[in-house]
Amino acid sequence: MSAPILSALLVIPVAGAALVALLPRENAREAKLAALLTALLTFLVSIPLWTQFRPGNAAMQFVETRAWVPALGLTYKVGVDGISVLLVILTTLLMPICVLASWSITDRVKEYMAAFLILESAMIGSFVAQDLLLFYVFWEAMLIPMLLIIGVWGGRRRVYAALKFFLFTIVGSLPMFVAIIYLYFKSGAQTFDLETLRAALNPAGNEPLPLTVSAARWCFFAFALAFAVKVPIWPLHTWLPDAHVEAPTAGSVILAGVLLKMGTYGLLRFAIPLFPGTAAEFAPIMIVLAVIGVIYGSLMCLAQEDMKKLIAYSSVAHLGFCVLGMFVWNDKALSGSILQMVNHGISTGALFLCVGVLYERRHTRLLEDFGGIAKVMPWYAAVLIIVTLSSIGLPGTNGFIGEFLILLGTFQVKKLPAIFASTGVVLGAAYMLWMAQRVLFGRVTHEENEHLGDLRGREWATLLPLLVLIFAIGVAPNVFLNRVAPTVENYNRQIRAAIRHENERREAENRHRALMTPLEAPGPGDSRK
Amino acid sequence: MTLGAHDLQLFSPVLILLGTAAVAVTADLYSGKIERGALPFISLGGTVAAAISLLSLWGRNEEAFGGALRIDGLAVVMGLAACAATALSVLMSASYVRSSGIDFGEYYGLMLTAAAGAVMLAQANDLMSVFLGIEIMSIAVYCLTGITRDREKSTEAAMKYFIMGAFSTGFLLFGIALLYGAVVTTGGTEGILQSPSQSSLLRLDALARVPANTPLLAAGLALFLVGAAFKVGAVPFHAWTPDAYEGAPAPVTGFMAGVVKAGVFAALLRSATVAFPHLGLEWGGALAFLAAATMVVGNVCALAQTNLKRLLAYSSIGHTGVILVGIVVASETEHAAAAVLFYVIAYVVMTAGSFGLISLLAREGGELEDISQFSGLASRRPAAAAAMTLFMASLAGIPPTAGFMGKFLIFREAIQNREFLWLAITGIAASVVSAYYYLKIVVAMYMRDPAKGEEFPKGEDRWGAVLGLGLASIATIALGICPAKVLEWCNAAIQSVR
Repeated sequence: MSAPILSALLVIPVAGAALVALLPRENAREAKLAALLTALLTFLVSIPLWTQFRPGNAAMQFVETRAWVPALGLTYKVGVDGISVLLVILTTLLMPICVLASWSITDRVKEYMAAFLILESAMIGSFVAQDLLLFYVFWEAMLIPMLLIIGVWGGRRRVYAALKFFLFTIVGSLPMFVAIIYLYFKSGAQTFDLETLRAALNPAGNEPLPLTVSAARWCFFAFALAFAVKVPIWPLHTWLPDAHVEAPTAGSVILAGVLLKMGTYGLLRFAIPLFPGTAAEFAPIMIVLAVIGVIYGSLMCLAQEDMKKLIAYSSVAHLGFCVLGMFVWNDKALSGSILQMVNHGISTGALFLCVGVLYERRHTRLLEDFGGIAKVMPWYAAVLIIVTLSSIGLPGTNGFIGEFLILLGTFQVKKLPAIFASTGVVLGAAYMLWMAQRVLFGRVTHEENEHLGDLRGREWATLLPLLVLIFAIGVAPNVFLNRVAPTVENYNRQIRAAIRHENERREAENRHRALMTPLEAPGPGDSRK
Repeated sequence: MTLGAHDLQLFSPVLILLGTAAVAVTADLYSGKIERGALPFISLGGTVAAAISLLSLWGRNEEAFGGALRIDGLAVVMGLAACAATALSVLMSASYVRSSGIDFGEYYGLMLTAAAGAVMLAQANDLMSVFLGIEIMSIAVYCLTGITRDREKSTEAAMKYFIMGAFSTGFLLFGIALLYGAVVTTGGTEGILQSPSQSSLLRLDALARVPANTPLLAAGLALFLVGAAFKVGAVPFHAWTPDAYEGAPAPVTGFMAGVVKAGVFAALLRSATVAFPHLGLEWGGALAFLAAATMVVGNVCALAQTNLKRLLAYSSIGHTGVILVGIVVASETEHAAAAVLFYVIAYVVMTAGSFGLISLLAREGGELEDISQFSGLASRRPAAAAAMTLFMASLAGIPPTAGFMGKFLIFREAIQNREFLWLAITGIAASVVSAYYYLKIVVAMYMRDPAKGEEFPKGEDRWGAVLGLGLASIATIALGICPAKVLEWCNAAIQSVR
């Protein structure tokens, strides 16, 4: 625990952004190089998170605690556990790829690169923050860079998409802000420290519960809303297709690869542990919404003509699986959920890169503009097929492990949702393969497509690491699951115990109340008497 | 009452500002010999000197002029905020006034006089000095608003501002008269026998001895609050704000937004703690309602604005609402008053910055006012657009900025109290609304193409505005990331009043 690795991960990108911003405007190439080097350096610094992570340990690791504003109960506390460590590394890995994928950007390169690097710090910060307010700061700090990335370097309707993204997110987040402060006072802990708050909100013995049932519901709702917008859970997903379609390639990669995970991660890290009883109460609703997301997202995919929109809706479906796996409190399902978050980052990131490759050549993403690409770009076709299969969840690729674990785990606990969700797998195969078929196979239907060049060195550099990971996770999932499993087991044990405990407590309170007023029949109307 | 060296020493910040104002005005008379370009330096020097003398008074907690003024932490912190607003505005003004032909000594003289009024207002310990401070400050600001005589809008704004302001001063004065009556006719005179001076009858702590149910006290307090509400632009006394903000030259707008708020809120806080400790009990509900209305009206009206200065005027009404929330809550919770101080400081910095940007981009023909005129700024002047984005994020309360920390501090206190939870939720909802219109500016700067033939003036010869914007940007981020020190000062300042 010697070197402050996590703080370094937060500082290096911002420092790089400052450096990039100070370069003269003419030096676009240098700005790209500086950004690439910063992103690579960040990735290198993050490697010890993988090598020095102790897989058997369920607790927070690499923890750093410093006073921030003691008078307000704010601490700078960061750490990673099995839930977040893979996500942090995913972020640092995707960032150099994004910079490389943006090499063709010519407009305002400096600002573009600076926005990406600031975004990286904010994303890593959100994953590692162990103080609620610190988390909120990073969470909101992501907004402006992402707004600019979509709105400045995006497609034709970029302003609309950027505003929609921003407003959806901020409307979702501000109730959470109120809830965070409310918890500070009502929990009695007078701190924003996550672990302390969790303990205070879920007292072990017979101490009174600090929140009333309705207050806990409101708070859970506020947290869940913020995260549900980000995931996005149906029916709050409408910003996502717009944002994805309009964002530049690298923006889509980071949006799908990391930003959406903020939502699922937030549910897992904050909404559920802070209010386990309420989460259990709302679990049926969340499960239903997740399953609707899976099926609805998949059906929407079948109807899309724009490749990016198709992949965007497939994200809704895939993240529906993640949410499903979280609310059944089964170890397998939750491990699958966490792995699926990483998998989705890899596969969907790669898919967006593939779309970007075509878009750079043809400036269109419509399925009907392609066909027979396999003949002119054989290597590209091979890559796209691999990525497609991974997204479908073919055994041997990463996607299989995640979805399979989620469905397996869910089926053990709740049969019906698992059955409905598995239709998503079938539909997923249909729409992804259909997309690949329409793009790659058949005759070359458009003359312009006859002379497209195959993958170039830079494009290989962006895709190859992801391809390696697709197979690595697919073939040796245990290397990854080992790091996740202890945390997951511990997490679920705690949550289940807390749910049971809270239910018993509430029941006891109700019985007590009924005994205290024996003369009056407890009805809905006269609880005030 | 004798005038001693002690009094003068405590009064020195105001004296320095007034003296510099006199120097600036007279220096201009010899402008044949002295270059007018020296005026901003003179003014800056005076402001910095006043700030230093304020700093030297930190921790003194003494009264001057027989208790008419009290130099304590509150006076120092809010005085410094006023000086900061002044210094930033002088920096932003330097090139602006030269290009618009108003770079005469009176401009700086009036600015420094207004600052002197605000500093004095922050020290005011009896109602007479409150009145004097407000008047010194206001009259100078009226003149500044109309200083571009040949611009119709400016003259109109000054006229409106003056008439409305004069009315509000009337309310204020009448309120003070009633309060005086309340002190004289009830038990407030007890202590007077020991120190029989006129001033002590109007002392703020004398008012605290008046029984809370005295009708005169209630009437006087109501009028007093109306007068103060006018000055800070609280609903329903906000109608002058958009016109005055739009008509005044941009650096003046930034100046008056910050300085007037620093002065008046300091006086309000002091009278709320010292003179009307029962304010929350008697008036809490009404004030809370006004605060909520101010936040909602300000932010909702801002949505419809296309003129940036009018938009920022309505946004300032919204911010006044947030500060009022702090004042309402301050009667109940301990740290809310410190939160108000922090918010005022944050507001001064970010407002000075956003109006500074308008000043920076002003040309000889006038200012860029319509939001659409800022289209494409980011591709021509990336640093300016980045700074403006920062200020907009801060005004909208997006971390890690001063504005976020300020909102966090104030709403934190409101949420703590169950009865004010609704106020916090209203405020947060209003913030969501505000995010949209601040965003419009960012969208225009970054995502729209510049209008044909639109050229943004170069920044090279505008070192003052560039420096001012840089300082404001740094302060905005610093207050957002490491607020601990400033917050400590604010807390100490409030402690020293009690």
